[in-house]
Amino acid sequence: MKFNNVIKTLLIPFLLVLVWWIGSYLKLWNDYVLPSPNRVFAVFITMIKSGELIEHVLSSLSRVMIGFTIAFLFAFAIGVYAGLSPKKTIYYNLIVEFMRHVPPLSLVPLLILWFGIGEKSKIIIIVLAAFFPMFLNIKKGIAFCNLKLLEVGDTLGFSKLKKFYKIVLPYALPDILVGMRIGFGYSWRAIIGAEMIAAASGLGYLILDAQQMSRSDKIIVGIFTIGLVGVLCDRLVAILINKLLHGGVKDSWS
Amino acid sequence: MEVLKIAGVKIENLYKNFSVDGKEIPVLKNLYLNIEEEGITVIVGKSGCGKTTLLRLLAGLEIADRGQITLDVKGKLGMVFQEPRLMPWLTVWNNITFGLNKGTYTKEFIENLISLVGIKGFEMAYPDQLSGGMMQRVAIARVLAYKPSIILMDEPFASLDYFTRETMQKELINIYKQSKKAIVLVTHSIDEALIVGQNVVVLKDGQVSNSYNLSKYTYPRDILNDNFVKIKKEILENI
Repeated sequence: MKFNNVIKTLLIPFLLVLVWWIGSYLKLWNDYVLPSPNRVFAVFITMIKSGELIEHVLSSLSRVMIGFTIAFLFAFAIGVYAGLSPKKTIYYNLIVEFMRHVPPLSLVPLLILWFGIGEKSKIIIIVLAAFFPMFLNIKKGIAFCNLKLLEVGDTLGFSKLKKFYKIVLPYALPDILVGMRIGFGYSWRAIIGAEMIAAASGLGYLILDAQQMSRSDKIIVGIFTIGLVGVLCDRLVAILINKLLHGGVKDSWS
Repeated sequence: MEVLKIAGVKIENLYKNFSVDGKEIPVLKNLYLNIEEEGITVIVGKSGCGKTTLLRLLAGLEIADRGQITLDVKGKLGMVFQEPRLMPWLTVWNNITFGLNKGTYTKEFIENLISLVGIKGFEMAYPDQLSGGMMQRVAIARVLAYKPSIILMDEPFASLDYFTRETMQKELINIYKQSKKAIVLVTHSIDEALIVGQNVVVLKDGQVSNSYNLSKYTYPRDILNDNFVKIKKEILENI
């Protein structure tokens, strides 16, 4: 990024922190309701030094990774099938639309009842959160393959399988990657919610624990970390996507 | 009944209908055609006369309602479409080798094709970095790499500007001279038919209305020459 753009990007966040700092300095609000940026930063550094923060981040991330991977495998297999047989959509469309509108967090009470408060129920929540955006995007990418390009495969004597991996799959790649990016964002949001209900580690737990200890500074550190890790992961995925989609296929959604 | 001659292909009694809004519209009606094993055959006709349908039937992209297409030649068919239809995610080089299996071609073979179609230096470019004419050249190279015995071309130069089209027509003749393949080219331009065609077949209302053997005229041709002007007038009356 150019230096100029760095300034443009950071200008408003900087102003917000400045307002926050001035407000705290002038004691416009109670320090308990919103602690000063200096204090939050100090706590942030202490938590990094003690390793507490990293531990919670890794704990949340590892759950997301497991859940996301499972969700992707399912979404890919079912999405490819659904994309290749559009006539069967009518059998499952209603249930997909129904499930898509049910927030996974609303299932937490039942999941705890069925699977306990262990890792299983949290991973299921992530799978549910990440599955639908990935499934729908993969299905779309596979289903709307350019017929003209498929005819090229026909004239070159390709088999159905060869057409799939040489034309359909690369053509769908941008959609698949978009789905993965959205799915990752969804699972990151869902895990925090799940950890606030039942967990002994993770960023959601950190926030809930801080609430019970009346540590609003720790809560803010937790919120910032969630946002930061989310942005970093998303940037990482975006860079990866740019590497994969070189040349003609540009990501139009970034 | 005039029998149409193309390259190593025999077409007899061919019928093809399209159903539009519940109505059956005949496109090809009792078509007979023979295609020689070598040479450039040009099928010329107005839009809607069934020339693209004929080509797609030859390529196996459509199925005839009645009649028979017999391929005398052993080997493959290659097709160049009206649009280049390149894979946008592949470089020029990879687009050219798209139809080939790894290990079945040499680097020199592809390099020769690249210089034959005149796109040297663009091997690593992606399709969206190329002009329309360049993309069409890549599409032609892709077909040549596939080593078909017949190349079918569906108005391959229609979307190009006048100058690029002229160059591409020259290139096509050049490619023909070097590769000696059977080329079947479909066009609505009578001039193009006269410039490149050794056999010119006029298609009208799904049938062959006339055909001309122009193999005695050598390339490059001057289509303002009296003979060609005469043929052109005749075609215009029958098209």
